[in-house]
Amino acid sequence: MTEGDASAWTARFRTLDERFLERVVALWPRCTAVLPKNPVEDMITENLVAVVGKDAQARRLFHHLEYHYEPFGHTPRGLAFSKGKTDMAVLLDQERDRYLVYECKRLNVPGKDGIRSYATEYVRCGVRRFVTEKYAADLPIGCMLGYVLDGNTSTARVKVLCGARGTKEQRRPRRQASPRTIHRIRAKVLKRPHTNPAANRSNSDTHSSHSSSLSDFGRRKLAECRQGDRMAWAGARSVAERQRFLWR
Amino acid sequence: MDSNSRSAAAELAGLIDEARERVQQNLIMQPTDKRVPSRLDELCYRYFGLGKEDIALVEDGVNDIIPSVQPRKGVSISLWRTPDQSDREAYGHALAESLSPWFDDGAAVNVVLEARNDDMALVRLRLVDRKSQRAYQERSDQAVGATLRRLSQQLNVPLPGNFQLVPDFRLFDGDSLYMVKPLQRRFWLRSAAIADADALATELHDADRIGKVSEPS
Repeated sequence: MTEGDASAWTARFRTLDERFLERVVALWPRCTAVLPKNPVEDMITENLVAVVGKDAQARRLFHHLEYHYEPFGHTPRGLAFSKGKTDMAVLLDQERDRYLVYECKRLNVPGKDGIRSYATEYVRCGVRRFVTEKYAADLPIGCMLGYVLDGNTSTARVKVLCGARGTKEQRRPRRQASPRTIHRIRAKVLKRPHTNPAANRSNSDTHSSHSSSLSDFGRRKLAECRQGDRMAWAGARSVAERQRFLWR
Repeated sequence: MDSNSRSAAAELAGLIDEARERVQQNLIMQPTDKRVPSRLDELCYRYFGLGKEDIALVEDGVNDIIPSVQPRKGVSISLWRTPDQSDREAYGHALAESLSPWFDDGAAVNVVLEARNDDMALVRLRLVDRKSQRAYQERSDQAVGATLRRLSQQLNVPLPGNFQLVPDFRLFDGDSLYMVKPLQRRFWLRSAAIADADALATELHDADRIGKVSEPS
């Protein structure tokens, strides 16, 4: 039983996610020390979970730190089903539905063609899963964790914010691509089966007209889709939306 | 296994080898150095990477809880007795240490035993700046009932009639928090202090979230 006004205490209180993140930041050098160059996301998360799980200060914050935690959803009839794998979940006790979930994504990944931000994936395959309540449903908080591989956190932050707002950030003009790069891109484009450009320009929004405007590749791809995906495709109005759908 | 665990394992093996050699050299059994068992414990804790609070849970379990679960005939149960000064001090210290990290870097928690009688004690926690941090203190000049009545009138908060029936009573008053605790040793173990700190942090989480939700956007 608690009485009185706790505002003086809450004003200086640090929440669980703040404290957990503080430990992650403190342990990050220990985690990266064993990782190879340009590690994949799962490899980073696995090592992070291993390192955090062994840290006595971090361990005080949770009952269990689970890698690839699968939260359950329930159908109206009460049938439980997995809502997909979250990257990491902090379980506070043995209660399965009370957890602090972390969806992890790499950012600013160095590659052959320079650094790729992956900010769009961060928003579309990360933040969106919280917005749609796929993860952390009925919970007050859900967290994203960005592994900034080139260490440039300020650029990563700007790009993620732009990705979330759906805008492109002001950036410096790109340097001219080398003839070899141009050749490689052309080769890729030529190899890729594509929809009829003339048909793509049409802006009709009925299912049949979409189907008729598809190339063989598009029809094959659509045949592979589940019913729900087909309906989503049918609802796609713009050319960009349809292309995104076909190429995802 | 990290380097800390490896070095602890090597030291443990060294200690055990040393003890075996001693036994083989002397046919008459020598009394064991009293520091050896605590040294063994310390190395085991290091081997498993236990922190201060993990160690408190293990030691309370081994020294107090397990012996009380199956007491020997004629032995009083230690968890039932009234906590002495050192128990209360250990509790206060563990509570302050466990609770302080939940607040910003400049904050600390002072623990004072405001009042007590034969059954109950009133503990006051004060959230202070780190420079004003004090060790656990006790004030023995006040009675629990009178202090609670004064607080109740001051804050205009109705209090439960029987604290034995209301577990974990907590009363916030500005930067102070009053807790009513039964004077039985099981409530004054270091593991109880850690549990109290966790329960308080959970309540503050809820209060923090509700406060934020109700703020005008």
